[in-house]
Amino acid sequence: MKDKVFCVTSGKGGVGKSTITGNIATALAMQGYKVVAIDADIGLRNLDLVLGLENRIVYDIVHVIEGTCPPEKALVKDKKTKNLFLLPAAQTKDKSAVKPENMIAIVESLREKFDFMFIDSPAGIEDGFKTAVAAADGVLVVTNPEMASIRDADRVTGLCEAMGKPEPKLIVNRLDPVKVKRGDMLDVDDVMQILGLELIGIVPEDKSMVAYINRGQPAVLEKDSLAGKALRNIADRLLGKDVPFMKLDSENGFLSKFKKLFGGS
Amino acid sequence: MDYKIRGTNILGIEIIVTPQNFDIEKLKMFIKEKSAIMRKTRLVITFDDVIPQEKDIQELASFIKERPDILFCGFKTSRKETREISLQMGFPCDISNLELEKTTERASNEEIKFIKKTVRSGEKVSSSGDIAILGDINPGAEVEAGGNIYIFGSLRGLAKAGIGKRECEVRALFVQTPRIEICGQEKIFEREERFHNFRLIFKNGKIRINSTERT
Repeated sequence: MKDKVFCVTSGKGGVGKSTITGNIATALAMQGYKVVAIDADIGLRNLDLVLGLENRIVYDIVHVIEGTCPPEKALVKDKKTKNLFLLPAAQTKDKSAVKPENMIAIVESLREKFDFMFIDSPAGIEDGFKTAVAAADGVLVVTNPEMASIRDADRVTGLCEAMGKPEPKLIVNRLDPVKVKRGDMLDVDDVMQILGLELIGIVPEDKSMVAYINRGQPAVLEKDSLAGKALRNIADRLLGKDVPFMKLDSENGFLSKFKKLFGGS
Repeated sequence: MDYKIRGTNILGIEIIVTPQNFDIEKLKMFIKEKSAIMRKTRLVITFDDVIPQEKDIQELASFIKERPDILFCGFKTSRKETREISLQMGFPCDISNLELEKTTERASNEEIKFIKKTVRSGEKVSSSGDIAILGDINPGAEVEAGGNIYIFGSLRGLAKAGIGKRECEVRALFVQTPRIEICGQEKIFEREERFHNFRLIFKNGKIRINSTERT
């Protein structure tokens, strides 16, 4: 396997980096791979919430850097999903507590023991972002289908190129097929035209995502969630499988299910 | 001695004779040597700041006449005297402002910077000469050129061309951008304006835009 350490980043905040990191990591762990998710958003940690591990954290990444405990000891084991581990961020420190060389050292010390590692990058393009990207073999850029997010993703892509990383792969998150059809939202093609990156996933907007996070249950564990299926597909594509993109026109949507129930086409 | 050759806008070849290399015998040798590339093409001989004698023109003309595969079109010059002599001899001669041609020539002699990637938001590319981009210019990116800008892709960011020049162009396969700066002037576009096969020319203080499709 070529790349095993991925950094999930976006530039803009709130596009779904942590959610996607948590879900892809869970999806790969479900398939039996040993996966660790590293939260690099020091001071604003959220990845533990997505995975539902917030009350099990004892040590965090800053303890590891300070030498209070070895990296293995700081890892939080997920009880729901075997093979999934979380290296949480410190909530009481800020971005300056972790330097790029610290991140590289942690990743290298864990590399041999895991099949995949995902680093959840903070928003922005400052030191926190640079630290998160420094240790990664590959970069996954998350964007929403709207201009502000696309521009930030573009900026981040340029910075990754400047740092000598391979061309990032693109995940379009929170795509609403109904809005696209109405012309209120940019299409995936529009996004692709500007960014020109390899598309690795399209995740549809899912109203229940907030509920999943509140419950601490990643969407990939939900059998009938469309977003969960899209995220599982991304995990498969990372494994090198050729998975076709889901059809996201309104036929697959919520309303059409009702229509089917009532004998519609 | 070597003479400068260049393609001309009338689909032909132009040989440029300067005072430093003005020698009829050598010019004849040169034409003989290069006759392979001049076959079936129009030929123009340019006297740049040179006033030849009547016999020089006569000799040159009879020499070219002996070579039927060269389509000799006449002379071009920057000097009035040369024009009068050649017209007296019965040869067409254009008087041309070679000064202007020299400036455009200089611009193209300057290094052309090739960028073989998409210029992304926050990135800036600049060059004193021309810039050719094999990729896009994304929103938030900047390209600055002393000369022309050629984009083999989409222009969505800011392009500044012809800084400090009076004549210049910007070309792109697709354009949707708020503004383009050219030779210190700016052209503002509407939000929804899109162009395909775009060409913006700044000449004689005016901006002209050509495109195959405009929406």
